[in-house]
Parts: sequence; C-alpha cells; structure tokens
Amino acid sequence: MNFPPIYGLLAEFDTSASLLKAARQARAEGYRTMDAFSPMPVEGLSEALGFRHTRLPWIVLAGGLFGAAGGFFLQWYLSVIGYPLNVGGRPYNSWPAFIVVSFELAILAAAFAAVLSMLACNGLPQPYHPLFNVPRFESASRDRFFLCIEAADPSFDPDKTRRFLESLKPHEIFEVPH
Amino acid sequence: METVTPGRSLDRLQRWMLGASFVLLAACGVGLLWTPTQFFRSWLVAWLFWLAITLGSAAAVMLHHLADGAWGRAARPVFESAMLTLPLVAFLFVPLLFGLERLYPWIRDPVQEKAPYLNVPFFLVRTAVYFAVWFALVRLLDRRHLLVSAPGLVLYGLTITFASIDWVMSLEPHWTSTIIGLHFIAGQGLSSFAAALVALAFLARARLLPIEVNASHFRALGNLLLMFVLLWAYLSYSQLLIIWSGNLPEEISWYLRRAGPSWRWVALALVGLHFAIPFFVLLSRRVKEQAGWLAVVAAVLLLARAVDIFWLVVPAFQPDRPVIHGLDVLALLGMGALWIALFLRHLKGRLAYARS
Repeated sequence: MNFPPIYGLLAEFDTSASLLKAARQARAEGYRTMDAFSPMPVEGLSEALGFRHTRLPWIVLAGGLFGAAGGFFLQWYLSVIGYPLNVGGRPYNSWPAFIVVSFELAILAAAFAAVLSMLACNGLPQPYHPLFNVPRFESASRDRFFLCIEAADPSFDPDKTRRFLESLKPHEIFEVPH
Repeated sequence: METVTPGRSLDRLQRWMLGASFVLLAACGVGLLWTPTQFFRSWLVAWLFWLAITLGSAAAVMLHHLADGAWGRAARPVFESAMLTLPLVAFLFVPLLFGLERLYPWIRDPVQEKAPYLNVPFFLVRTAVYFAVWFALVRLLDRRHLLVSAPGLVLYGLTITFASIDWVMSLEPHWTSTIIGLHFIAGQGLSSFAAALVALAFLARARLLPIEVNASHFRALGNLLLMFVLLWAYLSYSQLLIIWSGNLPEEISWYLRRAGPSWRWVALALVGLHFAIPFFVLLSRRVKEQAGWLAVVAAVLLLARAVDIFWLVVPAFQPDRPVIHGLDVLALLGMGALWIALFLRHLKGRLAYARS
C-alpha cells in the first residue's frame, strides 16, 4: 500500500472562535479533506468544514414507519386473528387502543435506526486512529480546539500546508504520523 | 438604493382591510336581524378563532422572554403587534353577551348539580376576570415588564382552561373533558405561530423587516410549528382514547355527534389537515428553511384551526347537519379583516421603531 508518509498536519487553537475562523479559511484555501475537533459543539463549524446533509434522516423515518406499522400489525394480529377476546363489546380491531403501542414502537425503531445507521455510516467504534499518536490531542476532549488537514487532500503539500497553518496563528502545529 | 418605508405598502393593505371589514361586518349585521341564532353561532366560532391568535401571541412573547432564542428576536414585532389587538378582540366579544341564551342550553335548562358554577352572573364575573387578567398581562408585556412572563404563563394556562370550559365545553353541559384547556392552549399556540409565519414570510418577501430573517430563523419557527402540531394531535388523541375507553353515555355522545355519520368527514379532514399532512411536510428541513413553503403550510394550518373550532362548537347546535352557513364565512372574514387592519397598525409602528 502506498501511504503518504504522514497522516496530516494538526493545528491546535485556544478558542472555538479561532478554530471556526481557521476552518473557514482552510476551506477558502481549497482544502476539503480535513476535520475539526473540539470539546463542545461549535455553532457553524460543520458548515465551515463543508459537511453535507446525510441520508440519515430518511433511514430514521423508514425505521419509525416500520416500527409503527409493525407495532400496529402485532396488536391487530393478536387481537383479531391470534387470540380474539371480547372486551366490553368493543370490536376486535379496536384501533384507538393500538395507537399508543404503535407510537412507542415507532420511537423505539427510529431510535435504533438512528444509532445503528449512525455507527454504520461513520465507521465507529474505531479502536485505532492516527490522531492518537499526538499526545496533545487528548486535550481535544478538555479545553483545546484542533484542526487537522489530512495528507490525503489533493492540495496537501507538507511545506505549503504547514506555512498556511502557521499563518492562522495556532498555538502549535503537530505532524500526525501513521 | 431605494429606501422603503415600512408604511407605504402596509398602509394600502391596512386601508383595504378596514374597508373590507366594514362591508363584511355590515353584512353580518344584516344577518343578525335576519337569523339571530345563526349569527351568534357563527360569531362565536369566528371570535374563538381570532382570540386564539391574539392570546397565543401573548403567550409566545412570554415564552420568548423566558426561553430566549433567535426565532423570537425575528418574530417578536409580529407577536407583539398581534397581542396588542386584545382590545379589539374584547370589543368583538360584546355582541355575544346578547346571545348567551341562544348559545348556552344551561341558561334555560339549568343543570342541577352544576348550577353553582353554570349560572349567568358567575359566568359574567368569570369572563370579566379573564379579560382583566389578559389586559393586565398585555399591558405589562407592552411596557417591557418582563418579570411578568413566568407568573403570566401560569395565569394564561389557568384562565384559558376556565375560559374554554365556559365558552366551549358548556355548550354541551353534560359533557366533561379535563383535557379541553390544554387542547385550547395547544390550538392557540399553533394559531399564533402559523399566523406569525404567514406574516413573517410576507414581510420578508416585501423586504419590510428591519432585521435580517434567514433560513435558520424560519427553521426554528418551523420546528416550533411542528411541535404544536404534535402537541395538538397528542392531546386530541388522548381525549379520544380516554373517552372511547370509558364509553360513558354522557361523554361518548360528544364524539358520536362529532365522528358519527354526518360529521365524520370533517373529523377525518382534521386528522389530515391538522395533523398528518403538516406533520410529514414539516419533517423536511428543506420546507422549513424556505419562507414561501413554510407560509403555505402555516396557511393550511390556519384553515385547519378554523375547521377544528367549527368542529368543536357547531355539532352542539346541529348534530346532523355538517353544513357551513354564509354567516360563518362572513363573520370569520369580517372579524379577520378588522383584526388584520389593527394588527398592521401596530406592526408599522414596531417596524419603524426597530429600524431607527
């Protein structure tokens, strides 16, 4: 396999505002294969990184509809075909009473669809990632903000990209080895 | 660059609305002489519809003071202008005072065990208290006494609960539902947000807004609209489930009138217009970010609000005839034109104020 010698360049910032600005400038500079890391959500960061909307909402909707239909069928089959019981003279197919369980199962199936397809789409859990080779990266989950431009980006050049990142006045720049 | 004063085009719309309201309300006046009973029924439905937008807007202002959010900064001039129409709404209530006997069966035919509550003097006192509370709230909010918001929302919840019992539930005095107050609160929230969205989309299109209202504001307002759609559906269904499960004669008969053969299509139209269609359309982020589409959904929901109030009130009078009378339309539009004219008057002031 023909890996580039390093995974990418990682710049450390002190504030979320400087990270957001850096991400916007990197995108304006033409970088696309990059990612940002911060201890809390930063409003506007995903747009700055060029995240596109995913298919996830559709999968969740399908999950919810499946759950609702399945929940309703479950009760309908049980009450009408499997084990019909006369409850207070009501019809076997007493749909108003089925709504609650159908609704709950819609939520359950939608939540499962959301979590499982999220994991399937973003490839988590991932026990190894090159970024963990940089010891400072630990503070991404505490109080530091990072922007990583990956070597896989077509416009990546070890020297030019480093100079560009330096122009953003980061706290420090790290090379990320594989 | 051409400077647009917020006045010019709104001035014209305001004059048109005022003129239209005179014609329509004069026609209602003729209706009052011709068929007074029908007049009071139509007036009650129309009045409840416009009251909902006014009071729901006051609640939205209080909600925004408590919870903040970019949606409210964009929509506040609209909500505040709508809330300030309260004096008009109170004035429009006056004709109903002359029709109480035609509307409420418990006046001629007192219900023994409920008589301590359902009697005309106490009814009038309660109505006066509701309006006093609402006037005080709107006054204080208008003067930016924002501390009133938290106790104000509590008072709003209490007064609406009792008002909905008095004005709507007692049309069929043997029927009871503990959900009706919340059902009205959800309906009023939905009415006010739908009306505000129609107004905001119109103002944004005409470039009359002093501050920039962008896709994220509309998305937030669209999400709140979706929330109210869900809340309304949840409460309506809860009421249906409880009454249907209990199957008690005096309770289920309310639904038999409203979902029986003659009114069934209205009930089904509500399920579609008030819940299913707006619910699925409002799931889409693309719809919520486009003011035009959102305004279409909001307009459909306003229509659904009118149908919902019609469906709550009218079967009490004509359980076998789901028909609209000409006066229903005249009262709704005539009151609406007058309401919009006053709303625009306040709105112009607010837009000019926010601009300077």
